[in-house]
Amino acid sequence: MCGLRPGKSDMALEDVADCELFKLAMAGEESAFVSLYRRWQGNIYRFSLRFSGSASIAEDVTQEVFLSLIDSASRFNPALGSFSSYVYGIARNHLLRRMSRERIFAPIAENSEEENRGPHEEMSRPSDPLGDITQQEIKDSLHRAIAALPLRYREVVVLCELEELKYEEAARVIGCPEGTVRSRLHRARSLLLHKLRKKTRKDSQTAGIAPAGCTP
Amino acid sequence: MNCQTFEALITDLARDGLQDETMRLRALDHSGSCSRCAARLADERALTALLKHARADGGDASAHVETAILSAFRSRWIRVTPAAAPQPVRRTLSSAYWSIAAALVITVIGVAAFRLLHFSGPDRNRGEIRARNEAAREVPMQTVTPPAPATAGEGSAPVQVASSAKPAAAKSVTGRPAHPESQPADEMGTDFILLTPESELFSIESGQLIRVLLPRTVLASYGLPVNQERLSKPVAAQVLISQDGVARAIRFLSDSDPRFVSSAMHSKR
Repeated sequence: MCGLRPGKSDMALEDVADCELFKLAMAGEESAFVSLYRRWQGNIYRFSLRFSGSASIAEDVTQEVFLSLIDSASRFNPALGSFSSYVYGIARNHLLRRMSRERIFAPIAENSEEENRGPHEEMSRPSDPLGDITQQEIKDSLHRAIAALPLRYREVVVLCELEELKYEEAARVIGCPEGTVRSRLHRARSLLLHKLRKKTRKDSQTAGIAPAGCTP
Repeated sequence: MNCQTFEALITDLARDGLQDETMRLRALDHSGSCSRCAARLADERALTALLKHARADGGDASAHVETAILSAFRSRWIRVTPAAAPQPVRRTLSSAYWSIAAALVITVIGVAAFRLLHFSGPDRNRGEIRARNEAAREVPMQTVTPPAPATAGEGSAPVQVASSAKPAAAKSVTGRPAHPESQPADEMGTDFILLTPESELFSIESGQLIRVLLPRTVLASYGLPVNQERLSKPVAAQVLISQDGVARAIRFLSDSDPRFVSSAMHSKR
C-alpha cells in the first residue's frame, strides 16, 4: 500500500503518495521531506489559523507538527488511517495544548467588528481591494462567524468544509464516531447560517436596505 | 418525505454528499413542494459555496518555519547516521572497558569459588581438591606414570593428574573431550565451561571473546589439575562476555597454546 521506493528524483516526488513520501523522508531523504513539507505546510498552517485565530500560534503549530513527524516517525501506521488524518490529528493536539495553556478557548464574539478584525484579516488578503470589497466582506464575516463557533463545532467546519476531509477522516482526527462529526457539522452549519443572517440583517438596517438572507 | 427527514439530509444534500440516489431525488421532490424547505436548501447551498470560496484563504507559513524545520531534519539525520560518529575511538574505549570488566568479573568469580571450595565447601569437595593438589605434587611434570586405577575406575570424581597416559577422564566440564592429543602432558586446555545456567544461554544475542590472565589456583576451583611448579605463573583463559556484560563461559588455555604465549608476552609488556 505504501511501499518504500528510494532513489526517486525531485520531479517524480511530486506524484508520490503522502505516506510513501513520508517513509522516504523518514529514511533520511531530504528531498522527500522538503516535498512533504511544501505539500502540507499550507494546509497545517491554515487549519491552525482557522482553529486558533492566531497567526503566531498557527506558525508555531506548523513547526511543531513537522518536528513531531521527524521525532516520532514510527508512530504513523498507514493501515490505521490516512496521512492527512495523522497530521491533522497531531496539529489538533498541539493546538489544544497551546490554546489550553494560553486560555484562548472562549469563542470570539462576532458582534464587535473592531475587536475581531485582527486575526481574520490575516486569513484573507485581497488582490484588488476595491473590486473585491463586497466579496471580501462576506468572507471576513464568514471567518469571524467560524471563529465565533464553539470549539467542537469550529473544528468540524474547518476539517470537513475548509480542509475537505471526509467524515471518517475527521472522526479519526477528533477521536469520535463518524455520526458525531455528521451531527456536529449539521449543527455548526445551522449556527453559521444564523450568524451570517444576523450580520446581513444588521448591515441592511445600517444601510437602510431590506434583509436578503446570506446569499453571497 | 416529511420536513423532519429532509432536515436530517439537508447537510449532505447541500454538500453534494448524499450517496443514496433515491433519497436524493425524494429530498429534491420534497423541496419542490415545500417552500420552507426549499428556502432552507437554498441557504445551505449558498453557505457551501461560500465555504468553498473561503478554502484558499489563510496563506502559508513563513519561510523561516521551513528553514527551522529543515535544519531540525538535517541535525536529526547527522545525529543518527553512523558515519558521523567517531567509531574507532569509541570501539577502542569500549573494548578496553569490556576487558577490564571481564577481568574483574573472572577474578571475583575465581576467588569466590576458590574460597568456597577451600573454606566452606563440603568435606567431599575439600578432599577432592586436596587429592588433586597432592596428586599434582606427587606426579612431577613430564614424568611417565601409569594411570592410577583408583582415579579411573572407582567411581570417584575424576582427578586430572599430569600424565602422558592420557586418562579417559580428561574431559572438560562441558563434557566434551579436551583434545588430549594436542595437549601438553600437564595442565590442559579446555573447552568452554559455562559460568551461568544453561537456560540463560538463550538470551545471548552477541558477545565478545576476551583473553585474560588468572591466578593458577583458579584451575582447582573448576576441577582442573594445577601444576604446583608453575603456581606462581598465571594461567591464560578466554572469557565469553555476552552483550549484557555478563561473563557466560570460560576456557583455559594450556601453557603451550600460542594464544597463551601471546597473552603472557602481552602481560609482561
